[in-house]
Amino acid sequence: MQTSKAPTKNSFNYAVSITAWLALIFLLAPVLLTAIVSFNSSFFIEFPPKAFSFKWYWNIANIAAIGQSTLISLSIAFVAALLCTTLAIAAALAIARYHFPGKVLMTAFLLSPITMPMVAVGIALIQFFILIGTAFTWYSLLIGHMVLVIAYPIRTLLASLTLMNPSLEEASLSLGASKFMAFWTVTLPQLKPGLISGFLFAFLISFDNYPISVFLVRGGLTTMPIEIFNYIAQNLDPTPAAFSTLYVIIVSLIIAFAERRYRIISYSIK
Amino acid sequence: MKDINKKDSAPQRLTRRQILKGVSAGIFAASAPWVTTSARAAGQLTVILNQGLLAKLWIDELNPLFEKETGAKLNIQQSVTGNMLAMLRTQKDDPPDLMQFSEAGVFLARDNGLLRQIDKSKIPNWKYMSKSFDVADGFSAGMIDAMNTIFYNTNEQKTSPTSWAYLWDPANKGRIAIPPIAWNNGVRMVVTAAQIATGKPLAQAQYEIEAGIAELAKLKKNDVRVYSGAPQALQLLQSGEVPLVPFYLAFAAPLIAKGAPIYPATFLKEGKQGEIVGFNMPTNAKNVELANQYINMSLEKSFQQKIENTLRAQCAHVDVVASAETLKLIGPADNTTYADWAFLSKNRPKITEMWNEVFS
Amino acid sequence: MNPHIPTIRDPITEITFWSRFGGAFCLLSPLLLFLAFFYVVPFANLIQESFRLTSLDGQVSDSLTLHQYIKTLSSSRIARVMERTFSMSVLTVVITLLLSYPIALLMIRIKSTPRTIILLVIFISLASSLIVRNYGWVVVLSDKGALNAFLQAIGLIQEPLRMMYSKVAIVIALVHFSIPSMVLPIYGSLLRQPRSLTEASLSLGGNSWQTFRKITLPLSLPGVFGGTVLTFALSMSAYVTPLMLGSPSSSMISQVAAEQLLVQLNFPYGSAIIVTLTVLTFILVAFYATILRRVFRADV
Repeated sequence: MQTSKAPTKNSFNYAVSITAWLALIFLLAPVLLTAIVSFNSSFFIEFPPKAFSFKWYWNIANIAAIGQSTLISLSIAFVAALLCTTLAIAAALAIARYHFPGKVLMTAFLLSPITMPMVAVGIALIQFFILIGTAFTWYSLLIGHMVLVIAYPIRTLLASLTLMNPSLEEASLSLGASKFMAFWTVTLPQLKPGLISGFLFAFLISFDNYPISVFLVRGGLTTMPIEIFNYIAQNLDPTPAAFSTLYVIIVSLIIAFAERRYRIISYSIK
Repeated sequence: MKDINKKDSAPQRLTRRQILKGVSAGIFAASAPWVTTSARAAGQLTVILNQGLLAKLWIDELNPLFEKETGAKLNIQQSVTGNMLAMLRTQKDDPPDLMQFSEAGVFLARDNGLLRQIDKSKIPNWKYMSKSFDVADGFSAGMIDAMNTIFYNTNEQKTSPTSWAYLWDPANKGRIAIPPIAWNNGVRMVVTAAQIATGKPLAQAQYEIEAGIAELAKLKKNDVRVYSGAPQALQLLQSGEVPLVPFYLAFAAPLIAKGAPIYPATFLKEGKQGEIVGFNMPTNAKNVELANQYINMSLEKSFQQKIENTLRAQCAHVDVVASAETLKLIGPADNTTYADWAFLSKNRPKITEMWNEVFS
Repeated sequence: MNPHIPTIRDPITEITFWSRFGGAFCLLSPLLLFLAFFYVVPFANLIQESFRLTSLDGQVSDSLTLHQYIKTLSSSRIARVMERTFSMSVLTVVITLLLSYPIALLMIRIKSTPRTIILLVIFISLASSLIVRNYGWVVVLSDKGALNAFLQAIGLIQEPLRMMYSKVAIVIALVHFSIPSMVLPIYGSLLRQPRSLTEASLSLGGNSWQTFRKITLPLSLPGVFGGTVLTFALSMSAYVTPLMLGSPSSSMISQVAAEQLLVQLNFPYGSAIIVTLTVLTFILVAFYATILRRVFRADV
């Protein structure tokens, strides 16, 4: 990694630094201010906060169908991320290790779901599911989410595979290991950052999704973002602020842990 | 080779354990759909309630009672009439059990075969329902007359408006808002505009859609704001930023009780707007018995009294007389007008497109 | 030359399609099957649906027709919303770029620990729920929210600024959403530039601005391209953000399509609108790539 020593102090560098720090404050401000609001006992959003209270955190339990929707979101996100990561390992291996005609096109195709408007994916899928008669089921929601997140593990695994040194695997093969053994014991552990970060992003993107879910759900089948969104659309109180703060804390812990343990960020930046 | 593996061996064991955990969690997760669908069999009622504080009354007061008395589980969703109609059409085979929307949608739904007639004989409290709340010959169990009028911020607007035309007054530039076309009172705005444009009474003016849209478009000169939800409307109204907002009394009454500086206009020349909101049963809905019980409990005098008290509205029960407090807010009854929703809902797609051309 | 001599096929050295690509084929086929059935087919269905009529169009027929596309392209409202979506997207891309590039430059220059912290912040932003982040902007931009309270406290304004439920709020939220996905590609691109280049430029008498303009920026164009294209595509198709922070007068094209589908139940029209959006975005991105390649000779 190439980094420079301290740059000379001139107006250009100064401007760059100032803008960068302001931009970072811009990035953090909403989250921090939301946290402040979440502890404010007042019913309306107002600054400066008047009194400290935890009550909005307890009120999260009053959000309609919050328990059921969170359970559904968790199960969908987990299974989708798991299945997609598995499919992605195979696909990434194929792309990284083999040279076949149309490889570039194939890669572009496999990564294309990210660039599609989410509303388009939602509309296309619900019409399709209605056609084949499985609309509004947990499985159709799962499939919708899988299409949404499949590109993320593929991307991270491709990056991991191209960075990986194949000689270790070749060495184990030459020592008599079967292709599968070599893959399982040598390649897979080296892919851990790519696997974990791919799984994590697939999970988080699926968990958070609204546009695709909103087309594919109805009745008892609902997701957490949909219920939170409905609550925000109908109520003035800062319960969503408490929810947001909780959400960001949990996500931060997960990512910090994954970085500490599996170095997902450091590896994916190289 | 061994040294490299040594560093990896601890995490490697964890990986296998994680895989096992993952698989079992996956199996559990895969059983989730069964968890959600099997609950349907054992006494569950899916009710789509209306919005905001109106729905909140049912959620806070009736639902706990219902669940306790019947032991069934309530599945509550909230929506607006327009979206509920769409829901009815797409979920014809497996609809919700009860939907709470106003007469704005009942006629169209009934004429399209999407609603079934409610069996009054199964609902003892039906006999206490006022005639006007029995909408479309038993196809809707009216609960509350949701009145829509111009709300004003008492700090920014000293006198109550006496006419809808007040919104068009150039002096009110930047001080007015109108509902979105997705809301029923948004459609009523078009009708009101038609009244103002043609000078005809409501009964005739409501068919002059083009004139209404053209007149409504003139509000753009007054920097009219279109609110997209109840929280936004109330925020604008309460803060005084937009002191004149057409809104439903039922949604605002609890806030007036809390002392918010807002008040409804009790007399408007062209008429305040009444809208009967009730429970409607989709054809093919499964849990008819529980649905009947829900309607019956909603018609119970004690609950109807709460409608009158909390939402400050005319309710269905004949024995619940509007209190003085409510009458003060509702104003003269003969000033409340009702529209021909059979016509308006049939033409709603066209009205929506025309409204979007102007405002979106 | 002699057609009667049979060719010898040696099974050990023969290279068939299967032996060459068999592995890749087996590895790819589950995913390809999945995508074929649940990605390609639904989109093909969407496209064919956009060529149909429903009772809402007055006439019903079973044949394919361009009616929905003619309706889309001739509607003044759709044109207005498209133009608005486009200008908001371009504005978002420009502002995001102006904020993200300095962050990437900063990350290159500072020490390892602050850099990891900034990276963590960026990744956490990326992983945070969109609804959570948009709600954060409701908190900041509301009439009694943080920004107004601050500006009034320092006496800059007397009346609160009207920011919520408008294009301003949407663009701010879109920029906030896009910064992480713009910073990362640019940062990756900058990492690949050898330090010796900048050092050489500085030692030859160029100042920081010239070095940036002539060396750093052109070499980083692939990263800039990646980031700007992603931001542009995400902004053009934005749905949740305008839904939460906008009003009917600031609606974006995805909302219009969704409304046709969820409320009006006009599937063909909604499909036509969304296909038009996708094709338009694709054309604009291709055009943008061509300009970068021809005019700036970038390697994108």
